Amino acid sequence: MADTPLIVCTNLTHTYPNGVTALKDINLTISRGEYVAFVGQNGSGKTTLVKHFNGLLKPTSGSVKVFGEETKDKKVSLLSRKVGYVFQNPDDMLFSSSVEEEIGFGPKMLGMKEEAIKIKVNEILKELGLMQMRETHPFALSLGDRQRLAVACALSLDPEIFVFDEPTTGQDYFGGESIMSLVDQLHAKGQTVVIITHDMPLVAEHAKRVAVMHQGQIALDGTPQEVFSQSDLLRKLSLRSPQVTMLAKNLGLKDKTILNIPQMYQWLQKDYLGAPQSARGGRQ
Amino acid sequence: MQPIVEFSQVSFSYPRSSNPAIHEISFTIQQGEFVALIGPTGAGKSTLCYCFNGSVPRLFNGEMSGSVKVAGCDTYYNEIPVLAQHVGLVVQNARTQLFNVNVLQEVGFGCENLGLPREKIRERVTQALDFVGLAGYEDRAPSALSGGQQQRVAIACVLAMDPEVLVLDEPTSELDPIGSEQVMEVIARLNRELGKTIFLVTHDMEFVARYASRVIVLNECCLVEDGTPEKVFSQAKLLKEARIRPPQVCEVALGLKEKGYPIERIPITLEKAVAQLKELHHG
Repeated sequence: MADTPLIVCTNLTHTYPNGVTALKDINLTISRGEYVAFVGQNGSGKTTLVKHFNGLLKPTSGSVKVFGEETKDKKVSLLSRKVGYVFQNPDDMLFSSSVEEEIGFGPKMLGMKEEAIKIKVNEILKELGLMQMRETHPFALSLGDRQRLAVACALSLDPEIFVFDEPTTGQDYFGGESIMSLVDQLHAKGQTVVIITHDMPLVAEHAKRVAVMHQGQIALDGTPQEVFSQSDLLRKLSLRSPQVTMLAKNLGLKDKTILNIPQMYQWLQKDYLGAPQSARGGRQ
Repeated sequence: MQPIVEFSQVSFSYPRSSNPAIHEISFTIQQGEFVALIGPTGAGKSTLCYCFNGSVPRLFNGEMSGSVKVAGCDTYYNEIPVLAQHVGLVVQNARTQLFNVNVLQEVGFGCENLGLPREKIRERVTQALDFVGLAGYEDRAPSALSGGQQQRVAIACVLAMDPEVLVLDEPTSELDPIGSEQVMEVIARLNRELGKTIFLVTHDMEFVARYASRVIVLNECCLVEDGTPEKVFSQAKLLKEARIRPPQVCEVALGLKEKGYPIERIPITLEKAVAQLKELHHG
């Protein structure tokens, strides 16, 4: 069901023990199957906000409902079955001595039977292309593979919502794309996906909804088209639209927002430049 | 003029590793150049950085061959403290190199180890902090600063030792957009205003296009290209092989060229791309 609200924040405010108010009166609904990116400067409240989704943090005032239930009185262990959290740095969450043990840890803690765990772990190893490394020590893996393993661990609990905190940081383009194709696959299978990132082209190419955080509030919330069309406002919030978006805008495109390179070619060829001379010559 | 940095046929393998981390790398850098080193993860970029101050092979055991000279000092025959006066290295994840209780001690630490007099250290620290935009932060704990500030403290630490060459390994990879811009501005000013030679490793190709005067491409432990950003970002095949995504404007221009549009030079910045496409539109 597309419009079932899974996460509902109502007047959510969070003040840390040191007195810093990181979230101010946030109202936000994330529905089943959405693909939402949270962007904004460090300290704007992104991580504080998503940590409310699995109960790692509880509201100081206001409420957060996940699957219709207040997180206030829920244990993280219960919520973590429904909301999988993949940390920015995979090394913060890996601790076992082999890949398969790492993936099986969550199900084991949930009391799953050994046989069932084996089947589960095998499924995931296959799905994420980690089968050959099942006996490898997690820290002997490359950063990209450790990222995949972190995703595998989140998958092992069968959550319905995935939260990725800066999944591509420190990766080269290839590594980043490989993680993002994994995220896209989860979304395509109907999972609800939340990502935090500083990479605007990535947001423009992958996410379906963008929420811009600024000083503990949501300053902009809409489709990538809606958000990236407001490049002046984004600049005030210290964010940059993707280069292609700026390119099209500077070439005078007003009624549309270009988000990626294929869209750019289409517009250039159809409207701005016309077909290349050589092609025209060929037809004459 | 004698180059400030000279790599000749440098190869290095880590212990118990069958493959070299870098293989027969040769290049020279003149004083005042701004060189960006790019390439995929695992290509050997960080290993190359560690060669500049002799950390490879002194701190990392392994097999090294060839020679590295910085400001005339061969890194094989000179100890790290000697080399540190000529080349400052800011490692990846700079926060891991910060360990003092306050910024003053942190930035002064290198100078203390060089045995500079107290007044001189004070002066150097003040100048360095001023330069990176952190004047007044002397009493703050490095661990309590933002990522961008920590990165600038790390730069100040090497700047205070006043080396001719600064090597920076992915100084913006963990930072948000504002933090990244501020750090890159500081690095550009080190080059522009103080004439420091910069050797920067980064995955941010828009920064490379904007700031670097020269780009070295490393792929599978070998140097595969060395030239201007224009030259590097114009080679679709090279970029693909080395798994480098150029700035989006280059990608657009490369694609248009392939489709048969008359694009002679690949624009590397937004401004250049706008001008060039406008011309194509009117022409």
